[in-house]
Amino acid sequence: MLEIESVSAGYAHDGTTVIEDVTLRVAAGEIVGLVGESGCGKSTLARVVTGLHRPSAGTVRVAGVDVHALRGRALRAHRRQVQMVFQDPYLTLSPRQTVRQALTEPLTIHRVGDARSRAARVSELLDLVELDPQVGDRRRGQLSGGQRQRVAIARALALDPRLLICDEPVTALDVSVQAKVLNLLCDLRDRLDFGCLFIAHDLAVVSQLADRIAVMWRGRIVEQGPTAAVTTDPRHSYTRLLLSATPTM
Amino acid sequence: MNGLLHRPGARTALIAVPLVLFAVAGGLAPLLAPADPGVGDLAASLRPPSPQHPLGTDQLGRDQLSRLLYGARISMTITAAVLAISLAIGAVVGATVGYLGGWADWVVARVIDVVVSLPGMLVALAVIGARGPGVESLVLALSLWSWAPYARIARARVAGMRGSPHMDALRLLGAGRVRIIGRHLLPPALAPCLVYASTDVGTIVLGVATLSFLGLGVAPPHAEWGQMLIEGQPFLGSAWWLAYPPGIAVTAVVFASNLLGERLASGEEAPSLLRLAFPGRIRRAARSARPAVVAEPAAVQDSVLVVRDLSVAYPGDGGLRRVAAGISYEVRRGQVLALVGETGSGKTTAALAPFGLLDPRAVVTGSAMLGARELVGPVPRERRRVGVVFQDGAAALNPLRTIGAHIDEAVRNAGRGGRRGATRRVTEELLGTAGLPDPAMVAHWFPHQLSGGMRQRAQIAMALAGEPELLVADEPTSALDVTVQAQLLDLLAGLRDELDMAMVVVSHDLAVVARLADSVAVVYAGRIVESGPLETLIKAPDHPYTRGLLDAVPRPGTAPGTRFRTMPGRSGIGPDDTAGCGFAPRCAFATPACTTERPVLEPLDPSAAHRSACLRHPSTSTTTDGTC
Repeated sequence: MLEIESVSAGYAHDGTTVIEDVTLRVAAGEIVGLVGESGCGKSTLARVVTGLHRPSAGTVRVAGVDVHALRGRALRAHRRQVQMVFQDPYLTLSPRQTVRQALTEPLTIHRVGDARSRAARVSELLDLVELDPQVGDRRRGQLSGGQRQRVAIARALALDPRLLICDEPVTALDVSVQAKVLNLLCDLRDRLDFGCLFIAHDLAVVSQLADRIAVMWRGRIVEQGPTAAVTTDPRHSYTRLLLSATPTM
Repeated sequence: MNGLLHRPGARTALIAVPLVLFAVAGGLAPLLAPADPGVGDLAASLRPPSPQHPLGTDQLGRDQLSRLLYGARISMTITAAVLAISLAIGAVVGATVGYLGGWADWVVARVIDVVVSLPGMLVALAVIGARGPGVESLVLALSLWSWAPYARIARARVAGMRGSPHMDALRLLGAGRVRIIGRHLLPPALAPCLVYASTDVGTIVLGVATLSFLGLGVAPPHAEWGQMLIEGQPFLGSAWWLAYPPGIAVTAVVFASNLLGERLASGEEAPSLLRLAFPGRIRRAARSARPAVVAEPAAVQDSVLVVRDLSVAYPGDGGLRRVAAGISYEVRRGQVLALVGETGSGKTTAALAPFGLLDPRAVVTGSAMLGARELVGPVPRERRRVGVVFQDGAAALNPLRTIGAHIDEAVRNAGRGGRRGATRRVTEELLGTAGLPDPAMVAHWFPHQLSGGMRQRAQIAMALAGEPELLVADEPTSALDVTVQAQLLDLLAGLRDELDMAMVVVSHDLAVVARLADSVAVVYAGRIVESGPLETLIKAPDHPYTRGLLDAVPRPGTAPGTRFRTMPGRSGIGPDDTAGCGFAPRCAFATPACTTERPVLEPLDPSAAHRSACLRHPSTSTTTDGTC
């Protein structure tokens, strides 16, 4: 579903390279965890994959199409395939829109169906992320952290993407709420069969969720493999450091 | 009436009265005016106010009240036109270039700078000079110099939102530029513009009057306030009623619009003013909210902080609303107490309330003894002997001051250091204690040059400057990477051991505090539901909520795809929202009694160290439900 081929990227204004020679694949229905410390390039990789940032080398293919070869209308049409859930849902939702309006917006942008079918789809989405229908009439400020992230997930899924990028989606949430959102993501993946790149700094969260884990350190992927292999038999010293720092009971 | 006046909204409305009055009077001028403002009766010229002519007549015998009302109509119409044009142009231009950035933004920003710095009257005079006087020229002239501030405000607002995740999310959803600017950037940019517009009304009314007074605006015989002033000028001594009413009208509108603008701009300031205005009322309410005292065990000898039956309430719609109730805990020298709970549970309130670090409206009752001194009450607070570390190091430090300057100040406040060099030596020593490499260099850095972990260390150094007996840390590691988090927890543990310091650490994550804490108090719905030594709480938790919190912690080594164990329902209730146990609606063990009877913290072991507030006590209960 997602093929990242030797991608490097940086920021032109200061000429630094943030990620270097990253190769990673995510199959349909697979959750791949990407772990690393802040500033290691995880979020830049997410921006490259979604097409928000242009790589300096390498290619990113989603469902076989080179994301960065597209322009204008074709790019916007293609964007339906890849959606993203951000760390802080408070910042990604508009303070002025109700939940229903926020969920209708992607459908309006891509001219999906008519008013009635959009309303039906929005109700379906609320149901999908286990939110009460009356939550649909609330605004950002009237939602709890967990509810906000559910809305953000529902909006990302509105266009039925084949690939979901989750950038630290539970880092800002309480432990008890975090567990529920992670369960939801797992269920949704099982039902909708999308591929998922799950970015986090917490190895414990990722190891319980992901099928495979990639460890990123200073802009490079230093280790990747099946979850059990990475957590029980880490090869790279940074992975071992991450494991030892993970809070356990 | 008195109560109504104290509502902030009512006061704002009162301030706006002259504006609304003249707008309405102007709009209804044809209906309200007793006479035609343009038709005079030369036989009745320069008559003083009388029942027939409430504001007298002018030298041509025209009714002054009618002219004032029609003048309001002209002034307000021109002002509305100028405002509409400059707001529309300014907001759209500002929002568009603010979002697009690049050279377009650069060019427009320079143009705005030039227009704002030009004297407005000069621009207006030039335009009217070129086009000749008249209403259209007037509107054009005034719009030409009033659009720029709106563009500047809108541009600044939008530029701050350009790189936000919200915009990224919209782009990913496929939204085009027109949609993003029109639907998502213009509305928030308009809000501050409208606030500015309320002040601008006065400026424009004054501008219209001034230009008319100079003979460059509305031409006679139209009634216009500035025009009326110029006509009344020769008669200031003999017929005061000609110049005074329009003068007062202009002044009233300008004053009202300035006050309104100031009030709207200050917006959120109301609460602290409220407290300054009515301290007595809030304190009286506090006294009535004092809850029944529950018997507590005597404090242990070497306790640094002993909190007993602490309650915190905030004034709300229906009187005081408690957010924490009956909180009791103590921290001993060389020990770390962790307050654990979900967002909104009251854990931070419970930790910060003894030191007066809450919103000034908070009403704190109960007792908190730091050594032998009572902290709750009207006596000056002993804050110096307590160091505080906040979650967000970036927000807790002044971005314009170096790390060294922050700590120097804290050192001086603590009465240490002395001369400049000596102070800096103490500062560097503190930075070293907080585990920052090369303190001399870090002292010269600004907060943004430090990583999140380093900023937290700087905060710790600052907190240590007063040689505190107690360190309070509110979610000190929540914004950090796991590896940095582990280092910081080790630093705190080291400080506790070396300096024999007492600490209160607030966190939502039991797994995090497990690395550091000696004892734990679990807070739910504003009350402590379980407390005890760390080991006991983790190995043999009693309260179903504590069990739920422990279950929610992800465990490395669990097979991928394993469901995380969760608690049903959601938190967010206060301590007084139910007569029974706050957790009952989410609890698997709950019985009907749980919803009506409030459990108290009961000792579970002979030493009374482990206590839990549960009617069922699942850890000791012999009647198992199979889920134990």
